[in-house]
Amino acid sequence: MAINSIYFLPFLLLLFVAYYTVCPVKYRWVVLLFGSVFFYVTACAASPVYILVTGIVIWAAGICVERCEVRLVRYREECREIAKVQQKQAEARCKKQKKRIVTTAILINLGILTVLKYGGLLGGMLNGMFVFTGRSLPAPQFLVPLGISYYTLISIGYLIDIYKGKTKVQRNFLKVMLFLSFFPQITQGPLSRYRQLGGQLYEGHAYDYHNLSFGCQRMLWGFFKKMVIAERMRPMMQAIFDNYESYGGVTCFLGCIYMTVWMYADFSGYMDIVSGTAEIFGIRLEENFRRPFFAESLAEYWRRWHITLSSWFRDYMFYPLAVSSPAVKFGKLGRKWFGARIGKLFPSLFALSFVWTATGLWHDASVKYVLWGVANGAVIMGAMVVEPAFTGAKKFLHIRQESKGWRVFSKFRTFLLVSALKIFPGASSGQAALGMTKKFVLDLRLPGSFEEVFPGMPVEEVVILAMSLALFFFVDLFEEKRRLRESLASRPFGVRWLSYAFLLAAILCLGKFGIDMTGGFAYAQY
Amino acid sequence: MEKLMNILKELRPEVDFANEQKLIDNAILDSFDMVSLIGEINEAFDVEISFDEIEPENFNSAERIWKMIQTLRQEG
Repeated sequence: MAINSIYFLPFLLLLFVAYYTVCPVKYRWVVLLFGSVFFYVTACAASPVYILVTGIVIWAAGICVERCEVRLVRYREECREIAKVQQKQAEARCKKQKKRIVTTAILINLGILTVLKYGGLLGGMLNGMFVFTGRSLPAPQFLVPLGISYYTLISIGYLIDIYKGKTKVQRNFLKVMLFLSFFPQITQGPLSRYRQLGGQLYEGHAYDYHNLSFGCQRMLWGFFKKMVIAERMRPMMQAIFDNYESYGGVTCFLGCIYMTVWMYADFSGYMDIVSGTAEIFGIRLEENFRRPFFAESLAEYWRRWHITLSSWFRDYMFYPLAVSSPAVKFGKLGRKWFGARIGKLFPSLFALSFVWTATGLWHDASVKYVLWGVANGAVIMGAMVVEPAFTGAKKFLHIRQESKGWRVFSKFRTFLLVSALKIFPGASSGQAALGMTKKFVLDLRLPGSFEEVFPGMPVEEVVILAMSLALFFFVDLFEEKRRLRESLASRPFGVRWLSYAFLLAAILCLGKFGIDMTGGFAYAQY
Repeated sequence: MEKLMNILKELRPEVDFANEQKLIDNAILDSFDMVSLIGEINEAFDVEISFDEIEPENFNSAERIWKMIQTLRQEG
């Protein structure tokens, strides 16, 4: 079952009735658990055993960490008189034990992810390395469980947070399973933190008309973005990437732009649907987008796009790596070779190189995604290094950083850069990506026909798409300054319901409907 | 404290570090600023800020950062 399938709405309705009418407040989380298990089993082609194993591992690790802390507290109480040195030793021992437990649990989870998701890639690489032996091992191919990349990172975040004492350990195994498998977030996030989501899941919410109306309103907008915009753009974009040889460089670049917009409509549409779904049950999921096309640099773009993934990598990978001893040594070398200004960037550069390779690999077990990650990292790191020179050049040319013109230019430049980088995930292979790049440079002929600008699209479809995109753009533009949902909710009854009716009619009349296991959402494949 | 204020001023001259209480919560300092700041503090105060200390509550204001440095010095 996908969230844009015909079965999802009856499923949601049943769950809504059970949650608010059948179950007492205290046990309402059980309804969410049943719903999540049902959703997972019907949406996931692979065995649900894997998510169960992850759940058992983090639940057991949490209890072991808690026991270490309880032992330390008891020791402190029983031995109040002992010297500070001994107390410190006991604390260090406890910390070491906790570290060992958490590290083991993380390695188990990463091991499952590596074998299931990257087994094929690693097998292929090994065979390639040992091709001279004339033998090859069969590369393992597994059915990748739904949401494994998401729930693995969520579980690692939970483990690190309990190690650092930032969150309380959950002793109830079923509650841990609900946190991991909560149906709105299991397919493609957001990557929730336990301290933000856990309490909301278990507390049991009373029925609230505001939650219901705001939730439905947001779901409608999400369905509009997915069904009317994303699904309309997909074939056009696919046609360019599949037949790039027959198009010029400009059309190839248009394909990259279409992919950028398509992915935003698709992924943010999904987020609106699931955030609205959770809101109906009184649960606020973390926001994953903040109008990314208004970013003025690639680094800022990544702070606005897939925010929960970026902040996960920042908190659980970038910081530990950037303050690690190799990074500090690297920083010292940088200062020695390039002076203090550039040298102090070296620990960040060290961490970023790992983070961006991992980000690429997280998206897909393929070389093209690694290249995409490395390219993003290279641009961000390059911008950090040349930033003072760039600032100097702007000063020399009398360009004011805060001027409206420069800011609009920066936004446009970032959008084009993000689009250009889509060549890696968009192309069918590394070779195709190189072929398209070559066209960008050597084949700059302008599209000679309507077909070369909008492949496979009749004029009326282009008109519908243009109008829908204009609405999408103006909603984002409005939200840069004010909150649209609250603003709409404060309008008279007629205006509000006319807007909702318009959206619903647009979805029903202009939406493209299709059902598969993941609902055809771009990020569900990761 | 003056030494810390100088480091902060050099890092982001436009920020009012004397009064700002939400340096991290309001995303005034980004992750690159944080790493540069940690490096500078480690060197200037001869302490070692580890991953465990990287929490918004330790970096949200100059005062909080100073308090963390004092704690690390005592522990060290």
